[in-house]
Amino acid sequence: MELLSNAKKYGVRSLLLQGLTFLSVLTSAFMIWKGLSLFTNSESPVVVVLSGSMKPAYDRGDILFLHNGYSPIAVGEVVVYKINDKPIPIVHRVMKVHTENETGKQYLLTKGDNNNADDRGLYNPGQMWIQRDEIIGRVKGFVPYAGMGTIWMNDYPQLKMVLLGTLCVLSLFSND
Amino acid sequence: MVSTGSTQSKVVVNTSSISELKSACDSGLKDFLKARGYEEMHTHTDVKLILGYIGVVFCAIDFAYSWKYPFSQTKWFSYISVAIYALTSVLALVYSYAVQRDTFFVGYNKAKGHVISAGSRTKTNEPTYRLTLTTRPIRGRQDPPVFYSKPLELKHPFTAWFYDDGEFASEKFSADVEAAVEALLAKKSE
Amino acid sequence: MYNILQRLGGITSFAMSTLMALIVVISLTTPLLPSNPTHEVTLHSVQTTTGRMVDPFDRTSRSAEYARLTFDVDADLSSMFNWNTKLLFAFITADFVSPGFDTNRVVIWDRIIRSKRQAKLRLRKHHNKYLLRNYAMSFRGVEAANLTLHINPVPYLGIMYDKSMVSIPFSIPRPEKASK
Repeated sequence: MELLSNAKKYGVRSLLLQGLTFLSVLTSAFMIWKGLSLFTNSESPVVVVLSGSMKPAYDRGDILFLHNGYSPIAVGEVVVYKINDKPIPIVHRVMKVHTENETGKQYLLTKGDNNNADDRGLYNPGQMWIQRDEIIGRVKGFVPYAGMGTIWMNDYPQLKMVLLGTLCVLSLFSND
Repeated sequence: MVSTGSTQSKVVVNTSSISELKSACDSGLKDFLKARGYEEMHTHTDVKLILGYIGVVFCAIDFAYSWKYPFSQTKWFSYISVAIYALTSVLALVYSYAVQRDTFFVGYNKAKGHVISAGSRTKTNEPTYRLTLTTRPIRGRQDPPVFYSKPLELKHPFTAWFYDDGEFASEKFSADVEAAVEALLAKKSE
Repeated sequence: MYNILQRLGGITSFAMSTLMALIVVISLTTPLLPSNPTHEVTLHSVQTTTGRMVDPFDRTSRSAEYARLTFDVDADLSSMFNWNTKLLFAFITADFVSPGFDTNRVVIWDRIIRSKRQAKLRLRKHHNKYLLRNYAMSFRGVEAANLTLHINPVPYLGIMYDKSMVSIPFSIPRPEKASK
């Protein structure tokens, strides 16, 4: 196999070094993401808006930067939350906050700016409020349209394949 | 025409890329010294490999762990692995800049009892190869007279060693380098 | 000395770094742009009723107390529109303290203001857009109630910031038909 003959020709060390160079691209990207995630206390500190329910403020394809931290949520903040057992995170505004004084537990109700009704229809059946730990983060900054690539790749999976294929071919042709 | 004994085939580089010119000369020097009986010492590479792969291993474990379990549960391990990754990366960087610097080859010659290290650098937009050769005694050996030599610097434009189409003229290169190495060893045995 | 691909690569990476730098500069400087909005909220009346609201997701809504406010808003927010303002999100919250709950903040009215023309608010005898009820079933023990007007400018690009405004105190009366 080509790998074995290459190993004999260049030595194991050289292969390991090449492997490390390639891996360090992936690992440093992942570690930077993890570091940001830990700093903001959010499982996903950068998200792409998928629906138009926050129009005209945020539209499909906008990239949002989140910061969760540990402080209580204030009313009027735009948050990203994920209901327990539901896989899709939602970006909406907090309309009601009730904070218990003994436990500090918060009862939150959200609604999309572009929706007429509040989100109780999106929560789990019987769930009237969401809790602080279902919040992934509050929106602190955003860049419009920058996430359209992700949306296209979700809508047209062939695009993902084409992109991956091109990257592989390009890396084969580069010198190192 | 088949070359016997020589391990390289024709080396062609892009003459407008200084990094390619430098690496061709570096590997030319490596081959030259290896043919002279210097066995390569891989300390620098090994240190960086170990540091790098420790980071990779922790990263892989963290990736798998946080893939399977929710964020709040895996947070404690993520703190540890990010810290370790940052530490190993910084250490590898510091090692590369402070300890290894320009050295690309360290080789020892058991028979002659000394270690040669070769380092090279180039300045941006200046097609000149600056080679620095130093020797030091092999640790623990006292026979023949051993002491640290002053580094020998060789400065030469790349144009002398490459044909127009980018082919590396290894014979010319070896001849120039040989003169330098002889001078280095001659100084040493004073 | 360089070929086309190298030049292209150099241009692209320079363009990317300039773009990043621009984004950072824009994000950091937008909240510092000056604005001097004027604002005034007057509350006319608060009525509390029970037994008349039906919320499809709230099974207790039939027997809970709901408050209905009538208020005026006079505000000139046009100075808050700078080159980086996409829209202003204006909302009024009712804040109060209730037994067992330190903080209760409920949005009772909101509006999206899209341009300077729409930024001169002159609302007369408006009612709350959203139902106002306590977490508990009634408003008993509720005190220190305030109406606060908040403005949240949404930029075209950058950091979100908040400017909150005038607060006026009010009280939420119990309904005429005393219910336990």
